[in-house]
Amino acid sequence: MALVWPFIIALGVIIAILTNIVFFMWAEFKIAGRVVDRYGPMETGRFHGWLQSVADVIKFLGKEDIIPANVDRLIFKIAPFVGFVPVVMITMAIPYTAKLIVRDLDIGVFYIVALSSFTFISMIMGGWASGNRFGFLGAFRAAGQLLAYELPLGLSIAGVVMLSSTLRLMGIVEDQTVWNFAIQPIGFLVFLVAMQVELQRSPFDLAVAESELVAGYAVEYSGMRFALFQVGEFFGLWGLSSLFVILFLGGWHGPFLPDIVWFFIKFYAVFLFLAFSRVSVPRVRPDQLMALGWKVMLPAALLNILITAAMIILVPHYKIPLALTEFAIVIAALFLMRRAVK
Amino acid sequence: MTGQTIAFYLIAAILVFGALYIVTSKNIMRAVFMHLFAMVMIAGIYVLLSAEFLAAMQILVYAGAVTTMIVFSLMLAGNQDSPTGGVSLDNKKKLPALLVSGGLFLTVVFMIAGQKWPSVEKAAGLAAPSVAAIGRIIFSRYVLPFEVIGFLLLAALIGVIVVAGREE
Amino acid sequence: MVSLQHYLVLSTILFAIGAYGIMVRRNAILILISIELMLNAVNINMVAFARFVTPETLAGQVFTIFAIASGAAEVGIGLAIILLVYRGRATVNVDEIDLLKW
Repeated sequence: MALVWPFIIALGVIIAILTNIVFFMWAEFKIAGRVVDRYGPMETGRFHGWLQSVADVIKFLGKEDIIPANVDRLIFKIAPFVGFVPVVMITMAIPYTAKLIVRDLDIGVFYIVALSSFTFISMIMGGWASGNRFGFLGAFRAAGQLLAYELPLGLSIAGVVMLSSTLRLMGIVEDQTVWNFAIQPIGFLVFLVAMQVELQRSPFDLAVAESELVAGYAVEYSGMRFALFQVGEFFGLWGLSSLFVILFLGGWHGPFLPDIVWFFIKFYAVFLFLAFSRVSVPRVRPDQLMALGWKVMLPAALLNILITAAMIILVPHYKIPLALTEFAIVIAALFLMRRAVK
Repeated sequence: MTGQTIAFYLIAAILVFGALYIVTSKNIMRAVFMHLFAMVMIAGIYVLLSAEFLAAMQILVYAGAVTTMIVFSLMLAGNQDSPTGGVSLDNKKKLPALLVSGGLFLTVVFMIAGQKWPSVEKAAGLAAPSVAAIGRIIFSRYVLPFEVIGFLLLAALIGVIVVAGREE
Repeated sequence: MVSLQHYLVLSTILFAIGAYGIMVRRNAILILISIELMLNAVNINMVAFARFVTPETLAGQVFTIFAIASGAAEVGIGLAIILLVYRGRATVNVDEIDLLKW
């Protein structure tokens, strides 16, 4: 039974994700609508169009599979899977509660960071194999954007790893008596921004800007292949949001309710934040994005590591001084930004 | 026929096939992606050798960064007329190259076959190394090479920016 | 059972294929890829030795970490030089970059 249990959990995770896609996509449409004072989907399904995303999936399944003439067929077909499979592997490595884990890897966080580098490989493959100059350019812009934010992502994770002295995800959660975002607010903010860029979500989705470029690197993909890119993006959303909950929001810890309920409360809170930020802020220009990444996020992440390392080595009980120092820096930065905007 | 043996032969076969494809294909795009594929297979071999940290590092560095660098340079410096084809082998050098690499291979294989290697049973019973062990070794015995690698990467970074930066 | 010799032979095969690729290919970027193949073959060798011969000290794995890092740095510089040559001569075919020949 001990040998079969990981497979059962893995299957459960995949089923949970697939059922959650329906809910999440519907919630995003409704939120996007309500924020601008319209209703969102109302027709399909009696209650506020809750079957809208199911209808979308059926639409995708029914489309004709068009492969343009001058593409490299093998790479064109493989590209969505190169992006999809590693993302599923990421969602498998995450502990949802103390018992619901497929396997607690010794290199947990590092495994996830390594696999998340496959998303832009699949973009490049799809864009290059499409034989379409605009898809090509879109792919490289997206790859440059994702590459620029891999570093702050990894470095903010390094700050958390330093606090818990272990790469194992369960070790990081067990170590959080105080949630990590209170101890490392700089890392928290950097990871939040980097996560949104990695997931290609607004306000940072210029590579797949739905209302401007047609679909960026996926411009020649139609039907199920395009849907595979989208589903891969959703699995990535799930994986990175769960990672965020585990690293910075204390995983499954919480006072009265059972562990799994707390995990999903925090997870849905993160998702709500992402959905709201998508509709609240205008899209960021590419050069602004790269400037933000290299000039603000990377130094902030490095500063985070520096302060954390200094505090851990020099001060015996390092948690409170670390928290105070980092909060002071965040407030000072916000203050300076207000002065600059005036 | 344990699972490890099957995995090793499978990965090795795919790896050798991928390497042969890289050195003989006429399609540069497929050669580059076969290189990516070969790097991922090598990460698989590291996992078979209980070096999980190295496998993740291999994927992060090679599959993530090096392949992207190669693809970017192909975009900038590749054959603009036929971005998917256009590379060939130097036919005059095929036979001498085959002789040289074949000779190299046979020499090393004969050296390997003539040696006494530690038996498998001794190694199979030992515990798999943990990341903490690698960390301890790097920061106690090999801390100097670690710092030097940091400088090397910094020098490489500055060198790339200076060499390939814009001429304005 | 997969023994040390299997890994050594595999790494030798990859090394020989990489050497063949360097000698036969004309595109500079493909030569760089073949060099990477040789580097990785050597890395497999070292990790195999670390696993079978010295599992306590893990020297092979640490060395491989440094080899991966310096290999990546070398690829970066190599590509930068190739780009510079391309800007000057509009080709990456190593047979045509022969100004230093007498």
